[in-house]
Amino acid sequence: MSSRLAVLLSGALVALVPLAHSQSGRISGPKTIAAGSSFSLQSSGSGTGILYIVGPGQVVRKDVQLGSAINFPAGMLYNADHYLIILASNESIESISLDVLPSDKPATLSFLAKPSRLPVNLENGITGAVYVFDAYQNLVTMSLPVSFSLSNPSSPAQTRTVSTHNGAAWTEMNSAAKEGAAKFIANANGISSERVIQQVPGDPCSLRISAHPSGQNIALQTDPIKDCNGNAVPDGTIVTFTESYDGIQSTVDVPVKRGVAQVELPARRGAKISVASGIVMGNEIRWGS
Amino acid sequence: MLDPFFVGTARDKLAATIQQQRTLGFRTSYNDLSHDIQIVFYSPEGLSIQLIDNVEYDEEVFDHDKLLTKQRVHGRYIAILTPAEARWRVRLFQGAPQ
Repeated sequence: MSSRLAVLLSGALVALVPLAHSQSGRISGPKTIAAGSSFSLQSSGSGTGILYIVGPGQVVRKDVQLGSAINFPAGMLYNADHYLIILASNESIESISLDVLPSDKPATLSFLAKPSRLPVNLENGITGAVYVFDAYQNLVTMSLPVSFSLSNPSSPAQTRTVSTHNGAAWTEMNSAAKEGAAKFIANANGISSERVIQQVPGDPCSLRISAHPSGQNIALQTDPIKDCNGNAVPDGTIVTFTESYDGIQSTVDVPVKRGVAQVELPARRGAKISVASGIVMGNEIRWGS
Repeated sequence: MLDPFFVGTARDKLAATIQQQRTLGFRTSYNDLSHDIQIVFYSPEGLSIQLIDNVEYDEEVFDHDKLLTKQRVHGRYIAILTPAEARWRVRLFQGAPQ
């Protein structure tokens, strides 16, 4: 009886001993983790193995003891991506997949605002687009509200709140009626980014010239030139004076200086003198008739 | 190899991964089989475009020259492209759960 038991036990031991040496490593762990968070993998089996974590954004290779937990501290795996986790032992190679998700806390905004300079009173003339990133430069894909605000010195701020889709949000704003610098701010969860938009006067709204004799010439001068919102057009804006006489036409382009344009043209009795800037025509003068 | 296609964060992360793999003595081969690409955002100022690619690829991991595993992966990637001198380049690409 005892000899039969010994045979059975020795047989069981023979069966167990090689199992103890060759027990293959299996790996299990979470399907997803947040970027930069601590996590654990559980391995089974015995002996040692090599653990690989492989993704386009990051790789890890680590010698591990099979049959124990494999712990990764916070900040170890931080690039949001698909990862393949491979456990290689002498006997087997096992693999699982892991998705590292971006954090839901914004850390930086990439804010694209255009244009940096535009005429006043332009409806939806300013656009702003935002991409939201976490502390590891991962795009935060969870939907978040982004508030956009455009503030001008002379008018109430315009505000819009837009939810991100796949980490992006955008809006349009009107430029103010008065010239000046506007602050364009995007804010997501307390993280903000600011751009400055320069609002400049629009095209001249009306032109009026007056004339008086100046020796052999006519001295011509515009009234102060303003856009349709009462902003003085910038110095350097080109004003074209045209004199027509006896079938001959001569033109002179003059830049605005200190808000007006002035020029002298030859005084010819019966000449017609007109003024224009861009697509805006001014009044016409007939000299000496 | 990366410069004609990648810029900014995408380029830096890929370059760092390649360098890490060299240091650790293994390499990964990605062989794309199919792409299903959607344009999901074109920023109004024209300075960025965002794509989602539902991609199928084979991934092979080698430790030195020994093939550890070959997997067929169905992945979803978000990419942001920005204009460079004469073409669009990938500034960000990031895997996302299906």
